[in-house]
Amino acid sequence: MPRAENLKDAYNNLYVEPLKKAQEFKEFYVERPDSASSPIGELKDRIEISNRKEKYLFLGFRGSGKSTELNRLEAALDEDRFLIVNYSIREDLNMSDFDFKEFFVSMALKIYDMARSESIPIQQDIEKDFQEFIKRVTKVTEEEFTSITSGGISWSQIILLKINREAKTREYLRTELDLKISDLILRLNWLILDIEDKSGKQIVVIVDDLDKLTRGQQSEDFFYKNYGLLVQPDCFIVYTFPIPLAFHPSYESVRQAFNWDVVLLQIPVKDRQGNEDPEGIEFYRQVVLRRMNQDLLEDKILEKAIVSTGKLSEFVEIMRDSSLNAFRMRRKQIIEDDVEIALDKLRTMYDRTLTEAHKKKLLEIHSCHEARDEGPDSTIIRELLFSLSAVEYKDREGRWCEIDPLLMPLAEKWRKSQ
Amino acid sequence: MAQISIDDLDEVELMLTELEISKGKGNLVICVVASPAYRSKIIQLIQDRFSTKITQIEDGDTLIYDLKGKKLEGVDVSLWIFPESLPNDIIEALNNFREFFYQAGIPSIVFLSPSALHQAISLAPDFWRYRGGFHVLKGDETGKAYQAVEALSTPLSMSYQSKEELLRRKRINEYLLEKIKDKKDMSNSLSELGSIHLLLAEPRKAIEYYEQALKISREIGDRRGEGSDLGNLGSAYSHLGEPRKAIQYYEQALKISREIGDRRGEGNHLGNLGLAYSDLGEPRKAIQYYEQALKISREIGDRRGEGNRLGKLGIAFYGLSRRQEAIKSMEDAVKIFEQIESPNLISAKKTLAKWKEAETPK
Repeated sequence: MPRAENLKDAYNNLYVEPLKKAQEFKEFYVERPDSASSPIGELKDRIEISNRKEKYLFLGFRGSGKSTELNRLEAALDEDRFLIVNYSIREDLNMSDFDFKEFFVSMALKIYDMARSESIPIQQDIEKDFQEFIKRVTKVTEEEFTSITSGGISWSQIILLKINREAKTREYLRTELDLKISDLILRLNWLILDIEDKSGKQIVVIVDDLDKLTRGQQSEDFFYKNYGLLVQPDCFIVYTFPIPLAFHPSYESVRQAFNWDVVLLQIPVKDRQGNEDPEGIEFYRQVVLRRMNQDLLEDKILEKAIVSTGKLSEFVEIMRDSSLNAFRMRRKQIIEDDVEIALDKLRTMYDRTLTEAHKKKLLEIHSCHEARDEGPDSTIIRELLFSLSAVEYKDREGRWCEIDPLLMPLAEKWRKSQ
Repeated sequence: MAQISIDDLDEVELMLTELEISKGKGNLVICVVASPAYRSKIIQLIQDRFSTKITQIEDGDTLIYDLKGKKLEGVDVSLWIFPESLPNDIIEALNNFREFFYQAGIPSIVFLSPSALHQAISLAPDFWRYRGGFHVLKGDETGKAYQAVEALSTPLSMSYQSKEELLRRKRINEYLLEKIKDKKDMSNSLSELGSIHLLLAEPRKAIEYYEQALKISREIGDRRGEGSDLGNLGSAYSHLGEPRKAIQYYEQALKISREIGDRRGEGNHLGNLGLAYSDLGEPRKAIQYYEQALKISREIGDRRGEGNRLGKLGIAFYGLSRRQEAIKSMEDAVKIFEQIESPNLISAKKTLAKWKEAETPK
């Protein structure tokens, strides 16, 4: 999409989706500043030089650009050396009823599909054994299997669809795999071995959106109870990880099972002492200036929106709302009032939504720049991080936590009412 | 004309502007409104400007299925109505499939109750992050409803209205009144001032202006204007809580619309008379007027009017304990609302279900 030259186009350009295509990267990607640089370069290097099939956790706040960075990783890896399976669990699995058993079935099927689409022949016995195992655990009959394969849709896609749509298939699969999960992982590893051997390339699996498991219990079960299984497939795997869970006391044991945990933090617009960070501000400026002409903005209003939000997605959202406000007032430029109105509206909404316990905890974070739950049963910090009311930043001096800059003007009011 | 609260004019206009500029593109706009009845009014306003498709969502699977469905032809805006409190499956579907709203090729408005909005913010943060604008409407909880001026349902390029602009237009009209020479223009200006004052919850002032407009319409022999001014006076007295006076004006307006052969106006005045008699506690008379209004709606093919009048008839019958007739009327109304995808469908269905339940022997 070309850079907007009027407010209507600006409004429509200011929707931020993860960048995927080369053209999009060329037009919209803004290099992160050195102080909070992208970890993708290092991740790529690790994959390229490691002799072991490493497993990585990729952490980041929602809207911080994880999917974009993972797409960059896919593009950066040498395709003569690696076979990339980059997928989102949202595509095929039922996120409201999600279990690690379906997760491994889906990973196996994605790898199998990749081999088929790359025309890599799988050894006949391995393929047959894999198909029969999957049919057995999903209760797909021979007749169904035949009708599926003659229908032009790949059988793996149909099985994923059945798992996604049919509660009874999920239930059956879970019972079947209860004692056979190691059988599934064994077959998965056979597939990997055979494909890597035939292609002469190494498989890299990138699993996006695992951090989108919305129910805390669901993601805790997935990562805390099953992390031992997540490292068993015999290929490189990058797992996205819900950052709020990293603030849980159990995280340390999870982290140690993986080779590296990569964190993509929000780029700060102020340091922990409250001084503005020119590098961070410039990064955010460029994100918007790649999407709209500077003439559409009154002087200094971008900076105002940046320091008042301090988070990528929220900043873009405020600029989008401001462009709508300005367009509606028949202006040619976004002025300070438009930004103020958008900020006030969002701030008021959050003020109404937060509970007294949330506000108390946010005041604590604001004063000590740390966010830790008091114990495994306490969930307030995770809720605040999940909703981005609290944010973790990183600069040259390390990491620290702060409340959402948008909420800063409310902190004083909350303090008085405590 | 749909009735919306004066406090919401700015926000509704902002929402309509947002729909206008994202026309032909996917977008996810959130509209927060507490009462289903008020939501229906907002939907009616949107329908005055855009062709719409309304989808009522009861569970997450249906939402995903509908979101992934084929592109809608001839529809400008997709309207999604959610339950007052969101169950987990809907929350997760919203959170995980929000991009489908953008892939739909047309903007969507998601109607949420205030409590559903709080759930979405805390439990479906990706849905909340990747939305377009959000518009929180205050509604008519104070019991004061005001007529939304036509400007709200006219194309954006023609005119639009906000509270601030309403006051500006009031000043402009007052200023112009001193300059205008043409009587017809003067009458229009006075009539607009009346409508502005009605919007500003000043019905007595509105009446003063409407009376002046009426005087001029009569002077210049503008029968259509005269009928319109009389109808406006009826509405203003109705706002004042004086149904008897309202009836006097509606009757005069009705007489004129019949004389000049204005069938739609005739139907509207008959419908208003029905409402006024209903306010007076005379449901039998109200029924007579609703029936006449219904007949006209059918003759001129006004399906929305037909459905609304059948619904009103049903309520009046029910008030008289003529339950079978009430049920029949409401069933007919529901059929029409279904066909035209009216926002009144849900409330009509609920009323009907309640009546039928009361009829079922325990």
